Amino acid sequence: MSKRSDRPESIVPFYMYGGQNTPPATSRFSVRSVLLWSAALALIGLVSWLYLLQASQVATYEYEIRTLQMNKERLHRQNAILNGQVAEMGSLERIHFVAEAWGYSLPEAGDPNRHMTLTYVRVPTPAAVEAPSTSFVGALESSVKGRLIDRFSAQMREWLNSAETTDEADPRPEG
Amino acid sequence: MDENVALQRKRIVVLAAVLAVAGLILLVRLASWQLLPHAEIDYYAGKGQASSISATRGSIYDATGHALVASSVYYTLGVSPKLLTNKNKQAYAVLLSEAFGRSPEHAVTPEAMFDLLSEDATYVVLGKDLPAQVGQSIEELERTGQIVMDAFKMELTPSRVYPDGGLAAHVLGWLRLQTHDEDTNPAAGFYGLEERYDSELRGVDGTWQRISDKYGKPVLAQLEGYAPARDGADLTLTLDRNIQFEAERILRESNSEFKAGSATIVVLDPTSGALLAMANLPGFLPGDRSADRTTEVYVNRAISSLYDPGSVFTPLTLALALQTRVIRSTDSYDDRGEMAIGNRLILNEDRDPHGQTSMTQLVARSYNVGAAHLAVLLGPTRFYEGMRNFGFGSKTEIDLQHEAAGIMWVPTDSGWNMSYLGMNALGEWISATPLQVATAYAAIANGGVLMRPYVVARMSDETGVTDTRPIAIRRVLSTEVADEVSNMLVEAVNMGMEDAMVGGYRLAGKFGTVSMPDREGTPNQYNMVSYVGYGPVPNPRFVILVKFEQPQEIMWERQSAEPVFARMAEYLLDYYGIPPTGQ
Repeated sequence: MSKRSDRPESIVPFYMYGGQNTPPATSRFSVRSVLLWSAALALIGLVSWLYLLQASQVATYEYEIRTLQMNKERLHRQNAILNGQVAEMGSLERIHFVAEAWGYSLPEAGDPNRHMTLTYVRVPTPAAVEAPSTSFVGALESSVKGRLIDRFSAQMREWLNSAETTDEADPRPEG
Repeated sequence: MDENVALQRKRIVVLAAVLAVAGLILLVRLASWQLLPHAEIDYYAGKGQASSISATRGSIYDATGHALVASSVYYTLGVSPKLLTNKNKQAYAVLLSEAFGRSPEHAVTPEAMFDLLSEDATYVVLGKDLPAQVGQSIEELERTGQIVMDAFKMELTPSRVYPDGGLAAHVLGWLRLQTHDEDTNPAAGFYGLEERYDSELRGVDGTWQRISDKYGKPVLAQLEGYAPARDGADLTLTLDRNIQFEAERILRESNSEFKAGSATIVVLDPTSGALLAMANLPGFLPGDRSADRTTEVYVNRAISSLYDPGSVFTPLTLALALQTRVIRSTDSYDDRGEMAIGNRLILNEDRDPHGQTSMTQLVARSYNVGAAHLAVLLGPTRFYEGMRNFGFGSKTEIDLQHEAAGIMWVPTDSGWNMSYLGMNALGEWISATPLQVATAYAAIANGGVLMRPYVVARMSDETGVTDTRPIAIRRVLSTEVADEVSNMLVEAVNMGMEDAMVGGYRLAGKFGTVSMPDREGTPNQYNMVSYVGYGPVPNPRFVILVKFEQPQEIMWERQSAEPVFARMAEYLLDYYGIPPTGQ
């Protein structure tokens, strides 16, 4: 009973009891502690803002990736469909149908005209033409001075040919 | 006053205790959900929220790179009419009618579409099995914002496209598409390559973990839950669609004349064993089997149906006799028109004796007595060993489903007696598949080396490309004997099988005719006529087997199988650009 008489007679929750030495409200917080709390709150706010920023960025990227995945699947499916359509367009039945519409038909196996015949035209062989000589002797022959040499060389050729003929006609006796 | 305070304190304590207990319960429960494994959560997190991404089934291409089978999708479009306003119904009816009009089969007037959209039902199916062009145009309407698909549901069903209809149907087989109950009735291949390579063609479905709203529309992505599908492998065949098309055309045209119960043609490359064409009549359409009354039409008779080869066996018997040197190619025998082996009297087809007969005449005229004579010279051991080496009595191991091994009784079998040796030499009382016979002839054409027939030349998927290499099983004959037999067969064709000749080319071949019993075993009920040949000799590029079972309009092979062989051979000689030898 004596203990209870020490407490204030007001309806205040037990955890608010501060006893007689509780300082007045205005002097309860120092400037330092206010600053400290403010800094802590700012830090928490900054961290939360950064977290939210990153989370939203991640969500955005997730959405973009998701969209890309859906596009990939859609394109993949379209690719498969196009492959099927390409196959249908290239079918032999269709090719034959279109060919028949254009007036073409498959040749019968016994049709002699089914092979393409190539006729080779014989071109007469052109007469051999002596190529102009580019040698020193040739150059001299084309000049006025070269005529002497020309005659000289002709004589030499004649002489040499006659010597060969003589050798063949008169072979050395054997033994 | 004190009592009030005491009461308040007591209430506060009780309240705090209640809150503490409730908090504790929540904490424990939370820890339980978070930390302990829960099957039902796994279920909802996994299967319940996952949607499957269907793998695209692999395509099948021919040797020239054209698709024989490709994959596509069908669309099914449904709507919940109660979620649409009248204004939307009018606008959507016009747009959807235009989209449906891309397929003449599914064309709907705007008025009829409006009626469908206005039905008093929770859900209405607007179109089932819509082709890809219709589905894609509806997707385009959604993408451009002309239709908001919240009230609609579009489902995709994988399908197969067969550009050439029934071309090579027995080789390809067919695919049973998945039903709505995927777990009990998954898509599965039946017969042919679709069954043989089902696991490779199928691929692996992907999954998409996501959170969807009550209409199934995804509202939140889960990145880690995306596993793309792995598409099935594409197959490239040795089969050439041009050759296949021609083979089927020739077979169809011939059979319209002969009216056979069934007909088969097989074209092989003897040097590699590659299958160039394989066709059977009656055929079927793999993409539309609604008209098929029996599953018998799906059976690939070239590899699954057994028949007595008949006289086409004679050159094989002759080859073995030459290989084992019991005779020489220049030898002759005295044909007396009949010969007793075991308890069986073997007679020539014409019942006449032919006196001194050369080996080439034996083959050309198909003298039964001569074949039996060779078999006796060989004896059972060498004969059956040789035939086993040619591949009879066992599967060729071609990569197609449902291949039969054939039946060849040997002396160790309890029912065997010497009569079998004589009859087997004529190609009777022995059962083989057309492919086995073609493979055995391919061995002769290939200089005596038996090759394993194959149809898939290449398999390609995301992991890479696998090429099939030809496999030489064994040497059956020496090169000299094989060449000798080839030359004898060429002579035999010139001597007695003129309908199988192609001017300017040396082709080897042999006909065969057998009278077959019916299903009850009554003998001589119908004929089975066949012709096997290859060319050009030397350096053959193809082996062709033609077989007609139960032809109605003809009785003998020369009217049926020989000209069909010649037509096919002529086409192949043209197709490969092989110049004539002028002989």
